This record gives sequence, C-alpha cells and structure tokens, in this order.
Amino acid sequence: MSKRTGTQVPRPAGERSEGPVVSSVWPTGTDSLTAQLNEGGYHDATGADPALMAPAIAHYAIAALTRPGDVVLDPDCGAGTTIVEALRAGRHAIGLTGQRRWWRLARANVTATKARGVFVDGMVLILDRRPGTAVAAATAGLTGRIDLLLTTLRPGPAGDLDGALERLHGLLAQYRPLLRPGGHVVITSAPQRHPVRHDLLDVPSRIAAVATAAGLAPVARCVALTATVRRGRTYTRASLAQRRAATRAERALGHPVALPAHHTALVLRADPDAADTALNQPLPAVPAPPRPPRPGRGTRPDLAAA
Amino acid sequence: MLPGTALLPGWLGRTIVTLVTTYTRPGDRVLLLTPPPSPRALQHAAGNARSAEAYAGLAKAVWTVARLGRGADTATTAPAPDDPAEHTNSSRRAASESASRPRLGRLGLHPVPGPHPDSARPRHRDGDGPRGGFNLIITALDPHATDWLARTDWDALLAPRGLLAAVTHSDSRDGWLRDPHATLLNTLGSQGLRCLDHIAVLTAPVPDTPDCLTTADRMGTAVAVPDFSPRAVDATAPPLRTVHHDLVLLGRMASDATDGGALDQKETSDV
Repeated sequence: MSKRTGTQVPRPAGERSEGPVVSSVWPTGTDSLTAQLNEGGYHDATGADPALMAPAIAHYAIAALTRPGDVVLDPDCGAGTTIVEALRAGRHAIGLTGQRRWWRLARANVTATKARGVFVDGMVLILDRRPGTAVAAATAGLTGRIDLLLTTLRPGPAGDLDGALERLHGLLAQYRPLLRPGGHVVITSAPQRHPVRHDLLDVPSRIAAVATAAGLAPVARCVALTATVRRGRTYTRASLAQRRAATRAERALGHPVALPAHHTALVLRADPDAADTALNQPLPAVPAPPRPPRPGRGTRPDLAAA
Repeated sequence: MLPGTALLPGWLGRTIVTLVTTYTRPGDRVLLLTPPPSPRALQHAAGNARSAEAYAGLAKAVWTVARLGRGADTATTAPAPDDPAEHTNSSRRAASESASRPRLGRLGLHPVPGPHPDSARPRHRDGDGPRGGFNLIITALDPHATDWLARTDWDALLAPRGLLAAVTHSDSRDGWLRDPHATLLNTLGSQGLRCLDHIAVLTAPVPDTPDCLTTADRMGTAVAVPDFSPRAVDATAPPLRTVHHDLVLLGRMASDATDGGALDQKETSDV
C-alpha cells in the first residue's frame, strides 16, 4: 500500500488550497438511507446491518479529514459502507469485522465498488477480527500509518450500552497505535433511550470518556443530520419503529419527544502525549494456535509451560 | 433579531418561542435564567465573542414569552462566592432583590434589573403565585463556566412536572474539546433530573448537498492554512465552523404514564 512519507506533504493537484473546514453540522441527510445505498450500488442486504453508518456520513468524514491517498481504517466495519465510501473517495481502506456474515457482505460491496471502476492504488483488506489482527497489522508496517479511524458504536454482545462501550474501548486500545500522530478518529452514535425509563442516554459523552482512556483527545462534537433541512424546516426520516418509540417515550415522560433527526459524530485525534507511550509499548505476542498432541506421546513439561 | 430584542440573537428568540409553545400552555410559568458571566469566560471571549455574548440577551425574551400568555420571570444566577463582582455589588443587588423578587433571592438567584421587570408578568389566576415552581426554565450554559449549576436549587425552582431547557455549545481550547454535556447531565442528574431530549439548534443555513464541504472562500472567513507536518498536526485540530447550539431538555421522571390528552400531539424533531 503506497503511503506518503516525510514531514511536508505536497498538495495533490486539484485539492483545495485552504484545507478542509469541518462544519459542526454535517449535511448528510439530503437523501434517505435507502436512496444512498441504492445510489452507491450496495448489496441489497446492506440495509440489514442494524448499526450501519450512512454512506453520506462516512463520505463527509472522509472528505473532511483525509486527503486522496490517505488510509482509512474501520475496526468494526459491519456491512462495509465506510470502506466503500473511502474507496470511492480515492482513499485506501481497511475494514475489520468479527462476524462472518458482515465479512461476506463487506467483501461483496467492496468487490462491486471496484468492479465499477474505482481505481485505488493499494489494497483493501477485510480481516477477520481475531485476537492477533492488530498485532499482524502492526507488524505489516501499519503502525502510525492510519490517517482516519472511522467507525460507529455497535451493540455489545448482549445488546446493552455498557457492553458496546466496553467493546469499543477494546477496539480503540487495540488499534490506537496504528493511528499516525495527528490522525483523526470519528465515532458516530445514534440517539439511544433507556429501555425502561425512556430518558435519553448521554452516549457521546461516554464514548468520549472511553476514547480518552484509550489515548485519544476529543476535538469536536458534531451533528450528522439524518433529516433534510430546507428553508428552516426539518423533514425527518424517522422510521415507523422510531415513531412508535417516540410515542412510548412521550407517554412515559409526559412531554413531547423529538423524533430522531441526527447522529452524533465525535471527532478525536491521537493525543500527542499518549502517542509516544502507545507507540513505545512492546507489541503483545501473537497467540500461537494450539497444536493437537501427537498420538502416542505425552506432553513435554517445557512446552506445556510455554 | 426579534422586534424589541436588540441583544437577543434571532435563533435564540425562535428557540425560546418554540420551547414555550411546545412544552407549556397558556398560564404556565416560565423563567428565563441568565447564567453568570464568569471572568474566565469573559477572558476567553476576547478572542471569541460567541462564548460570552451569545446568551447575553436571554432575559430580553421576557416580553415575547409574556405575549404568548405565559407568566414570565427573569433572573440571573448567583455568581461564585469568590467572584469579586459579588462583593462590590452586593448591597445594590440585595436592594434590588428585596424590592422586586425576594423569593428568587432565597433560591440563590438575582432578578434581572430592567425598566419594568414585573410588568411583563401577567396576572396569575390565583393572584401573584408563589416563587419557584416554574413549569419551564430556560437557561444557557457556557462550556467554560458550569460551576453555578451545582449551586442552584433546581428542586425548588421547578414544578413537579417542570422542564429545564439548557442552551449550550461545545468549545475547544488548545485543541481540546470543552463539552459541557457530561457536566450538565451529571450535575443535574444528582438532583434527580434526567435528560429527556437533545435538540440541535441550527444558527446558520446548512448546505443541501453533502459535497459542499465549506472552505474559507465560501464562508468569507479567515481560516489559517493548516500545516500538515506531523508535529504541527499534533497541536492543531481541523478548522471547525460551528453552526449550531445544543438544546438539552431535562426533567424529573414521571412515576406513571400520563394521558395522551395532555400533549398537543405536535410533531417535533431533534434538529
């Protein structure tokens, strides 16, 4: 994978001379999610990903925080919209997922994208997120080479918020050394309400706390629209399930409840103070797969200890 | 700007009107609570007028609220005990307090001095109602001055089913994000208030197409050319154009579900 080196990067031809300006509100709700997936040529099953990052949100983050030729990593890519949008924007992309279902779907989306003539100089990896994947990526020379880590908060193993945050913390701690100094991390999250009390949970602040513990510094908290704003009016695209949830919350709280119209996009960067510490840490040993004992031989004490 | 509200930004005036008409009914009591200007915020505002002046005209909306048929009160929160301004103006403030709204002073608040502060308050059905017990409190929170939240007796200010609407925004200093949400929710959560909604209030038009990544030329504002050398990038965040404020609604949890008739079935969205 080609990657720029050196301290001063020549500006690609046609690039903006001022550099990108990130708006605190991302106009990413012009088209519905279905329209975005259809227009992007995604596989029909892509919409089945419950924590899917909308292609428009991924596109905005990639365009605002990276330049052509940069490397984008999604350590929990799901159906792979972040990877596809990175490729379409001329960025190298690496996606990881622990579920074979999403792995197949993301591969299909990436293959379809490349078949439509997307030319990206470099390789696209969809890796199975095994325990040694981060170590393998580090030893492959990716330490300090990732320009943007772009992902979304996905439900935990039990579908709870605590499990999701714990999982996110593990991912950030594992892949934080791959981020180049000054590289950015974008984590999006949808609004979530308590299942019983129906109050709104402060998920972005908890994500910020988790990311800070992993050596990242929050720099912006942005609004990624999922609704259209025209002439001062907001046209939401709340689904029937979201409208029902809002109605339930209204009955429980006794006050009007707003329909969801945005996701929160938390922008972070590699904390310079924590970067050196993370990069100087020795890489953990790659866990060796267990070998079945040879028939007819006992286990040697020294191998068992190792 | 709304008519007669020179210091009140238009977006804030519209937000207050929307809040009052959505979450209260005629006859309800509304308090416009101006946060104290902290010296730290004023110092920061030397290079960023947004922080200190964005919420300065909050109390100017008292006439607007009164015209909507709600009982409107205004007050400022008490400055920190170690604030020098508190000592120099204490006598004058105490006089003003006792003359107009002594109950607010007991709650740790100070009335906003104005030409006719009481005339904006319509008569209550049962005469001059008790202080405190507001159905809606609209306040603002500077991300650099959040100490007053813990000093305010929200339990006494809010009616049992009252709402607190806090307008705030994130800010950055030295490349670090100052996000008041966690402080706001944790502090008020310790007083039994939960977050009911988080609404983004747009203060500038948003481009229709996501391809319109704003640049310095399009905005007409000066944005420094970023240096992409690793050391420089370490110390700088991407230029951020802030075009929204956050509106956080808090209230006490209802013990039982209310009848749908109490709501006017008006559809709202969180932008």
